[in-house]
Amino acid sequence: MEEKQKKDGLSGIVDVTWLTKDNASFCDDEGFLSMDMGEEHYDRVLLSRCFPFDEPETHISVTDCEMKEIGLIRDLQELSEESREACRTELSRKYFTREILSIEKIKERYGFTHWDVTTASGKKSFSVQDTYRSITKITPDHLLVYDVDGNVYEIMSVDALPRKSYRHLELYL
Amino acid sequence: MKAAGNEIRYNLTLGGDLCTGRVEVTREVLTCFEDGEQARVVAFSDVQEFLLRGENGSVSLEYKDAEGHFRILCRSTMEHRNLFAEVVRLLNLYKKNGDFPEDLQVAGTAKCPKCGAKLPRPDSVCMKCVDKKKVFARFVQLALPYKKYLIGSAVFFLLAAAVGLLGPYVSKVLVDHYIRNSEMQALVQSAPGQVAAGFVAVVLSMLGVYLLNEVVNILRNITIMQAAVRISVRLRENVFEKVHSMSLSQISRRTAGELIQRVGQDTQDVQAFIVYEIPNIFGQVLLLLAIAGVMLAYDWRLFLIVILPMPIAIAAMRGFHHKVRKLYGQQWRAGSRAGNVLFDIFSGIRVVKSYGTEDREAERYGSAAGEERQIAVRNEVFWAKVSPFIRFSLTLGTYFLLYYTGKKILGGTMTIGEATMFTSYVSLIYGPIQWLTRIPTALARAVTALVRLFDVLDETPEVADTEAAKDVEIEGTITFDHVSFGYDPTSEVLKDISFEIHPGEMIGLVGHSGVGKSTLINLVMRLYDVTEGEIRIDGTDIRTFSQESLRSQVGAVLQETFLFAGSVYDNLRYAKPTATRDEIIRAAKIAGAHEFICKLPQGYQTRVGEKGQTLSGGERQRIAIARALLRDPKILILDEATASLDTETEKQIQDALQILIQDRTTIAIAHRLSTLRNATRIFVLDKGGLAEVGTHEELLAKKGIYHDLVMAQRSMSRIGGK
Repeated sequence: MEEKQKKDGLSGIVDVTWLTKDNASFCDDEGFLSMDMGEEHYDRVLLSRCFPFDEPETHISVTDCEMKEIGLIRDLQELSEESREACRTELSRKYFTREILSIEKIKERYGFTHWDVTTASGKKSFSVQDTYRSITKITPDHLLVYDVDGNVYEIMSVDALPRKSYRHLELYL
Repeated sequence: MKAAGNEIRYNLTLGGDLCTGRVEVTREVLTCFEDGEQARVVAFSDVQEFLLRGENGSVSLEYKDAEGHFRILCRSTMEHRNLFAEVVRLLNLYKKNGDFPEDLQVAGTAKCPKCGAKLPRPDSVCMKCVDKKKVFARFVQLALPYKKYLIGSAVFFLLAAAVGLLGPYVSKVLVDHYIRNSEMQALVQSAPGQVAAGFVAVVLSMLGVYLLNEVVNILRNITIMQAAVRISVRLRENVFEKVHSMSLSQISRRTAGELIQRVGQDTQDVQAFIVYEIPNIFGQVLLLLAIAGVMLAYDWRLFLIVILPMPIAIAAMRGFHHKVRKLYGQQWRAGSRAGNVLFDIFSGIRVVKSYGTEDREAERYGSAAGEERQIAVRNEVFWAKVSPFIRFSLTLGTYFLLYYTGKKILGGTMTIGEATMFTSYVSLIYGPIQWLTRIPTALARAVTALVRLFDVLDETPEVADTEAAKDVEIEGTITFDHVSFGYDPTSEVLKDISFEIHPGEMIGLVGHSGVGKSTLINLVMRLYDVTEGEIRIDGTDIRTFSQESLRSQVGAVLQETFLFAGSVYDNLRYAKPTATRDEIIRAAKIAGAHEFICKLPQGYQTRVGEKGQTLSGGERQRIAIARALLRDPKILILDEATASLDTETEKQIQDALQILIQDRTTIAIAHRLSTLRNATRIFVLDKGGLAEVGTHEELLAKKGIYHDLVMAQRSMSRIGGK
């Protein structure tokens, strides 16, 4: 016990249930994620990234429908191949974002900016209110843009954007 | 059986991939089609209830099947969130009452009916389609009471323009008659006094023109400021009053920053428009026309020479203006970020000191300030490089003019005085031109500010008094009749709650955090209106009471007491402005506040900081209790009134509260369940519903949620005791 506490000062005080392929399996079931843990079957579990900006596949909290935590996944790699894929599907459903590849136009009108962009899934137009506050810088190069509806758009690298796209965006950085 | 347009559109598959999806809704089944293929069919008979779940960037329309399992009907990105929320409500109504919704697709859409652009709220104005003429017509209405100032300033602007034209003419007279006049040499010999007098007269005229110009400008500025300040202050007052009349949920939809922006910045923008643009419409346009007229009258070619390079100058100015706005906007934001970092560090200086992180914070500020410095240096370099070219492009016409007039002077068809006059006029013409290039931006800014202001002014208060709203004397019976409520369409906080509280009862409200305890008391105070059901006081729906009458008889002591900047006396009197000093002292004595107030340096007139920071938590709570006592409410609400206090202070406050709750209907929320031991009844909320009701002893005996909560707290206090 003493040795354990030396490793991690808090591990002796609080227990964390780490979910791995040895104690948990996940399955995508008609749009929901279900989980088996030992004898226990959960019809539906919900996933939440603890560090959504930096660690998309590690430190993932698994809760039941009442948001009571069942356990944590330290790394999706610690799950079986099938469980991993099921969890990835659930995470991409929950954290639905479109990646912006280029910006064709940003037009400012009456307090809103209207964006015409090309995303990984095709062309898209959307409006942003209070543009400066609707852009979150994860790093100076990695941005999230929130539109008026609450949709999230991701710019993986501002530097990698085409020069013209950068010029449109520059004003709001 | 299918009604026209009775389908729900969505755009994500169950797996989360983009698709073109629709749900066809008939009275019997819901059929989902994805990219033209039938994906699933759900019979209404298999559904218990429809639900909405919002995620980060997507939303899903779900249902509970006959066995109570959650199932998913369809999924979409966030643009369909409002639609889905309304659809869920309508489908649940259909399940409950059999009212089949006839047109689901239009439900809950927040789009401009004219251009289809998305709007942030269904009741928002579309900035693109808003009738600008109507906006200005309303603005004129607003400005009409101040028309004497506006007309006065317009007259002064016209005068200023006319005086401006005189200057170059006097210069011409000076040059042609006295400096370059060959006959003048002879005249100086023969009649020196006459020449000197004429010369002095011309110089005095120049001085007179200059002084007149200044006087007219002073008068112009005074009159226009009088009008602008009056109009913007009136607008500000109107908006401020309107915000106060809004419900909490309407206010919560906007950030505090947005509301401050409406009251402060937008009215400022309107003021700037009145001061700088409206009078110019007369002054600058007239000046431009007058100069053009004078030039055309002298020589149309001269006019062309001046006008032709104008497009280049205008294009350069517009481009430059855009770029400058971009660059200085960045610099302003970088400065603001650095300021925020500094504010953050100074606000949390105790934490910084106690953790010894001064170096880290210095580095954080250094980095923010460094960014600002980098941008500022880049901008100054840009300014130094580009501004000479801009100045050059602005004066380009002058060079053409010099060439032309020079040729004419040499040819003897123009005097030097005339050439000087034209050069002066050309320099004058750039003022109005520059103004004209700025006008579209200024107009857009003013329209935006006005539309935003009218948007707030036109908003219908959600929690509003009906015409028949009446003032009532409350006795204190509170009835919740199948009440449901949610702040957000995607989540219902309270579901189908019914109970009755009798006058003089003390009700303890318990439950896990986030279960809706504070929401319930907000509904009693009618800070929000229920989504479904009815709340009655003494048998009457509270929506028929005037809000002022209701709230004047409800007193609240909350966990955090907000003290306004002002004296302790002002803060106590806030609850009852008509209270006498005797009353205030008596209330403070009952609340146990009088003693510590007297120890303050200026007694009741000691100023408390912006948030009352000079007082401790217990002292602030005592002031809150005294406030509530002064109000003498029929219904009393205690929301974690003693949660942030130490045990000894809590004990003292509890004693004060016991006096306060006598003969009043009281609803108390408390995490420390021991403080509710004396409650007449305890209501336990769980999962948005009323799970248990009873006295402390009854609920303990029941061994339900309350029992578990009490046991958990006992074991906590045992740990604490050790």
